[in-house]
Amino acid sequence: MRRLLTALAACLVPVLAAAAPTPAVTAKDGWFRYLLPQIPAAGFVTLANAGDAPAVLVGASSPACGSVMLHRSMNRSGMDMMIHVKSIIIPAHGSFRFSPGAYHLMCMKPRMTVGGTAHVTLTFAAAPPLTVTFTVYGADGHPSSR
Amino acid sequence: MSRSALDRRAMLGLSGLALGGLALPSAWADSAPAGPSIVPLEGHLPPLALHMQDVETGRPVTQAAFHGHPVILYFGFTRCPDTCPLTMQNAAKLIPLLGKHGKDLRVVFVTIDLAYDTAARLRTFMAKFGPPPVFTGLRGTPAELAAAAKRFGVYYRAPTGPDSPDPESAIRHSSATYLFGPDGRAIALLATFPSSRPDLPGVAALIRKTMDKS
Repeated sequence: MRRLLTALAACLVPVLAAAAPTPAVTAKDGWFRYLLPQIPAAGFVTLANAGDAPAVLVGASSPACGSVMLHRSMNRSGMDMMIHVKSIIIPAHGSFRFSPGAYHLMCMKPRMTVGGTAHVTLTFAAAPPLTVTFTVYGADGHPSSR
Repeated sequence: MSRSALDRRAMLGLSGLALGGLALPSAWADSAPAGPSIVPLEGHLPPLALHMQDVETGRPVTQAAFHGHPVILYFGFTRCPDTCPLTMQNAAKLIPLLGKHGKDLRVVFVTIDLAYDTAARLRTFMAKFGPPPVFTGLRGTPAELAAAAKRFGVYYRAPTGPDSPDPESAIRHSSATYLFGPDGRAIALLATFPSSRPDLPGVAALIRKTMDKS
């Protein structure tokens, strides 16, 4: 794993350091699973990067959330846990999907209503922020998952 | 990120990729464990037994309350925003696949987060997924929770109070989701049930089989 990491880093660093073409990140299918105001809501979205350079997502914010964190649900040896993720790379000409049971945007103090929408601003390391409209669903989640 | 969060990761020996915050291909990102989705457990786990408060009625219940019902037993907590609701959503989607046995199933959610999950909060959470008694929330005393967790080999850690910073990611719990038959005997570990690949038709077939046998 460490060798893989080193190799990955070696590949990425020159790409990131180059005077990069502007990443062109777009978002689709943004949605929250919202249960109660006292329970953090998980947000999911698919990000596509049409640019020639990787885009690095470094954070998110929303007036509907108090604060937003990039999280990942993990299961290791039967133990469920969540970890913070500092950044997420959307590869050049690639995509990245936040999806239930995996990566999600954790909306700490949700102020939203089922059937409504919430705006989330995604911030990138070397690109302008992107504000995305998320649809708010309830306990049964996105219609495609029902 | 807090220092302690870093320490926790280091302690867990999570992958270097996670530490670096690099995203993995989506195939890797899924939390579903590798391996079979249903692991037979007959003879490997003691029968259902517990003593806790049913958050719907406020009254204590034991395994006797579930006699005659297949039971899916899961340990979780309400301020878990992703896998716990996903697991309960999977349970809600399972009910219609059971046909006439749908009303017989008991989806039992035991909270491990006694600091935050009051009976009222757990009741409201469960009602989001389905009505009682099919969806039953249980809350024990610390000793009752510890006894049930020990009996079923479930590890949990919820060290923080309701107002502690960053409580959610410090809480962790075994994802073990067990199916018990109507006679209380352990049938199977539903290994992928708390994930995005729950094999609902397989679980439904197994439950129907246990019902037809009884």
